[in-house]
Amino acid sequence: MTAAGWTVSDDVVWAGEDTVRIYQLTTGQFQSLNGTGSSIWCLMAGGKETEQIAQELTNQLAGGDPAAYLEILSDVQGFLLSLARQNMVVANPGEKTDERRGRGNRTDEVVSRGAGAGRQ
Amino acid sequence: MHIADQIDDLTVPDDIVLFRTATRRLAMNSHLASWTTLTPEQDDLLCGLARGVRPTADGAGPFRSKRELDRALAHLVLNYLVYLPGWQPGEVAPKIRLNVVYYAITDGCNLRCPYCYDSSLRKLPGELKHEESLRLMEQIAETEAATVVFTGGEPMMRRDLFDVVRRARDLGLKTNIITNGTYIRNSEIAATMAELFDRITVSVDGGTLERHEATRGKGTFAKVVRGLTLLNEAGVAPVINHVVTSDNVDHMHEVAALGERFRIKHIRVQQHSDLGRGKDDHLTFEWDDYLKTDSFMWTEPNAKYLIDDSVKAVKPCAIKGNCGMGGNEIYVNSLGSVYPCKLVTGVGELAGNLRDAPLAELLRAPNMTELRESTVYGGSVHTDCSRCYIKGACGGGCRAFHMARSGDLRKNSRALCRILRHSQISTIWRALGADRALIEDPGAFVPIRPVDGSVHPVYEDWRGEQAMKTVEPTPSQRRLPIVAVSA
Repeated sequence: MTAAGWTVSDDVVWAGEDTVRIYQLTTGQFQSLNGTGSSIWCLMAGGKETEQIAQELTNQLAGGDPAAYLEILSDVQGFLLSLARQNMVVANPGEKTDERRGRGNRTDEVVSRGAGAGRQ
Repeated sequence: MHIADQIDDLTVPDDIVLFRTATRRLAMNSHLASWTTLTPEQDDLLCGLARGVRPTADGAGPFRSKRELDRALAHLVLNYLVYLPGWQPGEVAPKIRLNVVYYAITDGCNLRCPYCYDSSLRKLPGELKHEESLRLMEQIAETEAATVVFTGGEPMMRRDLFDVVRRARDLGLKTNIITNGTYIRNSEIAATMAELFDRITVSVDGGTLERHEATRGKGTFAKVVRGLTLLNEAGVAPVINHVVTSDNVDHMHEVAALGERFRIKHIRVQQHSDLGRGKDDHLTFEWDDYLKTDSFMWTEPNAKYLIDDSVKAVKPCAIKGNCGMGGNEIYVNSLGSVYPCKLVTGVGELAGNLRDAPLAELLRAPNMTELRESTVYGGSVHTDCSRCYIKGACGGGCRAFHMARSGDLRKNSRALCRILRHSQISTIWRALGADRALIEDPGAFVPIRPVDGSVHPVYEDWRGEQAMKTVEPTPSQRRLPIVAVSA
């Protein structure tokens, strides 16, 4: 299941708009995002859900083209899941998690959720 | 390695300043145009680091754990307020690529605006002929510039204007026009303009007949209203250019209301300057006038239509180092003379004439090279900017506006710097969602140096210039270099 909404991890400090710069408190690692990644990050950090982010990018990049939306949504979902795998973002409270699998690693839960429902 | 593990080797650059109000704190790195808000704990940490004090994470101070200290340090590092060991910002070089060519296709004008920077009157003898103008468009296209802005005088007075514009468009150039709007007489003309121009800018001096015609002349308000109406009917949302002066600054609400009356992109508010005929009109734009415009931007709902000349709340990726004259934009006058900027047309700033040399060669003229390569980080034009705490965002301001006040393109007007600095901080506070009460806090605009808590030395450098002005014996000497006035 792909989470509809994400939040910046409490283990992350970040800054920037056009180029988002990230520091992970757990590892001491710095990373920066490219322009598109930064756009997605800022929209996510501003409280937008995955579909809203995809729609906003579709409007900006493809004039709102519905076909492009599906492709962009898939890319946005993939990008946010990759951030989740790196413990940079977490699913919003209340998002459904696959507790039945009993996985202890929170990242794995997020990733596993991303493999299933929520696809357009 | 965590930042907290490197704390002994972290450095605080000299360019940092802090602005402290009762409720919020703002920090800026002037070199990189980076800014962010700080908590009191982050502020204390920054000042401590600047003074060589290294906090512990043992709970004795504000940080109960290494993680808390690391988080606070990360905020400072990520916003370029503290540098990691061995890290210094690279050289900031302007991105020099010709983008915009302003072409005064004629000096003839049907209006006699008292502050006209071009001092436009009648068509000058020796104006580039039709074929020469077409050839200019070809040369501009060969430079790979993106846009030609047709200006004047009044460009609509040139009978072959539309043919020259068509040629520019055929060559792939974007085409804009700056017009007084009085020649947009009917729907056919408006439709042609809609077809030919990517952007149409119409100059409006007031939102009422009385205000507009005080500078533009009798009968002009009805004509410009007709022009704006016809453009709207043709599907064009024009830009409105408005020169704000000591005489009309109290009536900005009338101009802003044009945003409700017409469909426009925005209203660009430019401050009056002593350029061209502006040297001899009675109009000014000084600190008190600026404060009125700043207040207007904070308080008036219709200010949403306005874009003023203030320094924008830029971030590091946007810094350019200079205004772009002679590099990103140039000016070609009606006679084919090439200058670095439409406002910088003194004899010493002439690159040459298109009748003597091709445009590509004139772009390489020594004065053009000097101007485009000088930045607030080094260069002969911006030496006065070297110590300023907004230099990265400001890029030195409009050099022509400095020149109009200081008498020298390469010398800053400290009165203008004062306006630029206030507007920069005001814009940042606005971008941070601050309210009116915050900017009325005395500390909101006072730059404090973290290294010793002192006020940044350039904050009040305008006072020295004002002191010199008070001994100015005659108005004519306002145009002389300040050094001469003070001598």
